[in-house]
Amino acid sequence: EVKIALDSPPDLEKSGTYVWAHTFGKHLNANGIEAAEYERNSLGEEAERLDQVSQGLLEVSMSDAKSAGTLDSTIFGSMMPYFFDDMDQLDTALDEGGMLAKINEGTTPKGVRVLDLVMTGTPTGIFTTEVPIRKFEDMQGVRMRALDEVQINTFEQWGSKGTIVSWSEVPNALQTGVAGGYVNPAFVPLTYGHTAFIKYFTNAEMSPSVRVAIASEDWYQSLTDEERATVQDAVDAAHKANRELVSDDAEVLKQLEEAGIEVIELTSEERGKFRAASQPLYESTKMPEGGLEAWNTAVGR
Amino acid sequence: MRAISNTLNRLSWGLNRVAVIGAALAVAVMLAAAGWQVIARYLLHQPPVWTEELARFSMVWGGLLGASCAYRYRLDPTLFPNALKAHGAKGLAFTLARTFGVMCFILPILWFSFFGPNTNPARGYIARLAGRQTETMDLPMVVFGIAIPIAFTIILIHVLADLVNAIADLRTAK
Amino acid sequence: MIWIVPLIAAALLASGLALAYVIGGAAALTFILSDNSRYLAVLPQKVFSQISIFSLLAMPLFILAGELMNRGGVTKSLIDLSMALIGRLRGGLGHVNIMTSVFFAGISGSAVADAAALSNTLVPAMRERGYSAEYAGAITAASSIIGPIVPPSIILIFYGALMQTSVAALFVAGILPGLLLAAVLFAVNAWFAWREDHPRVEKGDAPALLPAIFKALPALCLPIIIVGGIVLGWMTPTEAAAVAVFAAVIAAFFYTPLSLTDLWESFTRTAILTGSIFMILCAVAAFGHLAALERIPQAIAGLVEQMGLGPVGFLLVMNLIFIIAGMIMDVPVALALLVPLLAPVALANGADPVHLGIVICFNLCIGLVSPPLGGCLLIVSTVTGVDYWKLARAVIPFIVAEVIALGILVFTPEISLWLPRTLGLWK
Ligand code: NA
Ligand code: NA
Repeated sequence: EVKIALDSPPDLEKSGTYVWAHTFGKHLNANGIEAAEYERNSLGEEAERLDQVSQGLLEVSMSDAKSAGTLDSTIFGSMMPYFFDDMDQLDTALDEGGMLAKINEGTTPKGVRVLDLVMTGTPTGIFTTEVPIRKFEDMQGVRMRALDEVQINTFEQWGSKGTIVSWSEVPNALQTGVAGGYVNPAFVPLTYGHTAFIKYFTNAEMSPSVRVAIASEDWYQSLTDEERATVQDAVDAAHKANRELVSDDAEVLKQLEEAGIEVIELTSEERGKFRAASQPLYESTKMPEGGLEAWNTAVGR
Repeated sequence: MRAISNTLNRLSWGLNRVAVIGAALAVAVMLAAAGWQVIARYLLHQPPVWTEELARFSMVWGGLLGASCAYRYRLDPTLFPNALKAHGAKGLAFTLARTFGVMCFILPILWFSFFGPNTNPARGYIARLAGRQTETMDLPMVVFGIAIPIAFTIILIHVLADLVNAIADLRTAK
Repeated sequence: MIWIVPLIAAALLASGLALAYVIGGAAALTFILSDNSRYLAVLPQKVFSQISIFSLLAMPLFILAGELMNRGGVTKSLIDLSMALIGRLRGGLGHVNIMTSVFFAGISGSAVADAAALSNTLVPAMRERGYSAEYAGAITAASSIIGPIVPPSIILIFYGALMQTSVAALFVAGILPGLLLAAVLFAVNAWFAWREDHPRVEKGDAPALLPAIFKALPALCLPIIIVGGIVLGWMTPTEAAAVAVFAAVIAAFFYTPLSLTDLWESFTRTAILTGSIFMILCAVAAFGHLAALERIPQAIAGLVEQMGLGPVGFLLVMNLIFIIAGMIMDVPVALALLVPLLAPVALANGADPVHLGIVICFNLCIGLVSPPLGGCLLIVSTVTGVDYWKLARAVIPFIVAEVIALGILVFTPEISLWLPRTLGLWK
C-alpha cells in the first residue's frame, strides 16, 4: 500500500496540495496500485515526514519546499519573488529547462525523489490588518510577520520591517499588533479562520506558493518499469488538476470580499516597483554554486 | 560481581553528575534565548531570527538530560513506588522486569540512531542529520540531534548499574 | 500474540517501572508483535520532533517560574494572604488551599506546578492541624487544576496552536470558569468541614489582613503582567512565560532574594521535571504513530459520527472521551491526538471554538486528578508520601463536584464567552 501523507485539510475546492494528492492517489488506485491518504500530520510534522520518506518508511508526502531544501537548496530558486513572469514559466523551467531533474540530482542520493512542485493556491500576496497596501511605499509603515530570515530580507528590501512569529502564534500576533500583516496565498485566511482581523489583501502576485510532492527513492526504485509509468501518469494527472485549480483566482478573491476583506489590485507601475526592489534578493538566495545561473538559463534569460 | 557493580555504580553516578550540570546549563540557555527575544522585540524592534530555534533546541538538550537524571534519582511518576524498595530474590525479579521494560523502549531508539534500513550505518538517524543544517543558526543539526543517543545511552548505563547491583545484593545476602 | 502486551505492561507497572517506560516498552513490543517493527526506525526523529515543538517552550519556562516563586517566597505570600482572608472560617486551611490555587493559577500555567508547590507547603501544615493526610492531599490535587483553566495555561496554549484559535481569547475565556470551579470546591470543603468538624485557623495564627495584602502585592502584580502583556499584545504567550521567570526573580527581592544556589537548583529541577514529562510524551508518541499507521483515531471518530448523536449528545460523548483520555493519557498527547479529529465535528455541530477549548481543558484537567493515571495525583502522592490509591479514593467527592461544574459550563457557554466578547477579543 502506498501511504500518501497529506499536509492540509481534505478540501478539494481550496487546497491545491490536497487536489494534487487526491488526484494522484485516485489514479494509482484506478490502475492497480493501492494507495491511501493519511490525515494532515498524523504520521508526523514536516521534518518527521521528510525523514520517513528518506528511509522508505513513507512512500509519498506532501511537504514544504523548505524541508526538501535542507537536502538540496536548488529548490529555493522556485520561490524567489518576482523571478518568474507566471506559473507557466516556472513549469517550463522545471520540465524543459531541466530544473526538476537538477533538484532530484541533489535529493535522490539522500533517499528523496521530488515528484512535482505543487502550488498551495494562487500566487502569494500581502495581507494586512490596518494599513492597506495600495502603493509600494505603503509597505514602510507595516511590521510584517516573517516566517524566516529570507522573508525578513525580503521585507527589508521593500523598505518594511519583519518580525519572526511562529505560525501557531500568528492569530494572536495579528490581533494584538505584534505584527501588522503577512504574505500568503489568497486562500489562507479563509482556511485558517483569520478573516475576523485581516482587513486588506493586496494581490501582489509576488511568487508562486510552492510546496513539493516527495516520494521515497527506495520505494521508487523497487517499482517495475510498468508501475513507474503508472506513477508518472498519476503525477501528470495530479499536476494538471493542481494547476487548473490555482490558475483562476476569481473565486477565492470573491470569497475574500464576502468575508469582509478588501481586495486591492496593484497598477503595473506599482508592481514594477516591487519587482525592482526584489532584484537584490536573487543573489542572496541560498543555493548551491551555479544555482541562480541554472534558473536563469532555464527561464531563458 | 561486587567489583563490577562498584565500577558501574561509579560510572552511573559520575555520568549523572555531568548530566545534571548539562541539563541546568541547557535550561539557562533556553531562558536566555527566550528572554533575549522579548528584549530584542521591544527595545531593538527586531527579534533575532535564531532565538526561537536556539530556545527550542536547548529545551531538547535540557529535557533529555533531565530525563536521564529523573531516571537516576527515580523521580519519574510511578504507580507502585514501593516495588523499588524490594530486596533479595523479589528485588532481583522486579529489577529484571524493569530492565526488560526500559530496554524494549530505548534499545530500538539507540539502534535506529546509529543504523538505518538494512543495518546500514550511513543511513542511521545521526548520519542522516550529519548533512543537515539548522534553519536559522549556522550549526549542523547533529549538535542537537546527538542529544538523543547520548541521553539514552546514559539511561542504559543507569539501568545496567541497577541490574548488576541487584545481582550483587542477592549474592551478598547468600 | 498482541494480547500479551497488556499482560506485560501490567507486570512492568507492578515492578515499579516508571509510567513513561511502561508505555514506551509496551509500544515497542506492539510494533514488533503487529509486524510493524521496521517502523521503529521513526523513533529517534519522532523523539526529537515531539520535544522541540515551539508551543512546548512555554511549559519549562512556566515550571521554572513556579520553582523560583516557591523558593523566593512568592508562594508563601499568597498562602498568607489566603489565610488572612478566609483562614478563620471552619475548615480554614482547606479554603486557604483552594484560594491559594486561585492566586497561584494567575501566575502558573500548569496544574502540576501548583500541586507540587502546595504539596510541599500546605499539606504538612494541614496535617499538623489534624486533617487526614489523604484529605489534605486530595484537596491539593483537586484544586490544583484551577491552574491551567485560569490563565496563563499550557493546555490552552496547546489547544490554540492546534486549532489556530486566538490564545489571548482563550486565556480570557478561562477566568470565569476557573472561578466557578473554585466556588464548587469551596462548597465541597465547607460540607466536609461541617460534617467532620475540621478546625479553623486560630486567631493568633492568621496573619493580619492589611500587611498580608501589602506583602502579596508584588506577587499579585505577576498575573497582571503576564495576562495583561498577552492580552494587550506586548508579547506572545511563550515570551510571557520568559517574562514570568524574570518577574519571579524580581518579585523575590520583596521576600527572600534568590541566591545563585536557588537559581541553579531551580534550573536543575526544571530540567528534571521537564525531562520526566518529555519521556512520557515520547513514549505516547510512539504509540500514537502506531495508531496513526493503523488509522485507529479515524475509526473512533467515524464511529462517533456514525452514531448520529446531535449537537448536545455529541458534546456529551466528546466530554466523556476527553475525560477518559485525560485519565489515561498525558495532556499534550490527548490534545494532539484527539483535538484535530473531534473538534472539527464539534464545530460542525455548532460549537464555538473558544468555548470548546475551555470545555476540553476542563475535561483533561478532571482527568489529571482521576485514577488510574492522574498526573496531579501522582505528583501529590510522590511529594507527600501519601499512598496513591488512598489518595485516589479521597479525591472522588471533589471529582464529582468538578463534573457538576463541567456540566454547568457545557450548557452555559456564556460563562466562558462573555468576558472575551466584552473585551473585544472574540466575536
Ligand atoms: Na494558570
Ligand atoms: Na490547592
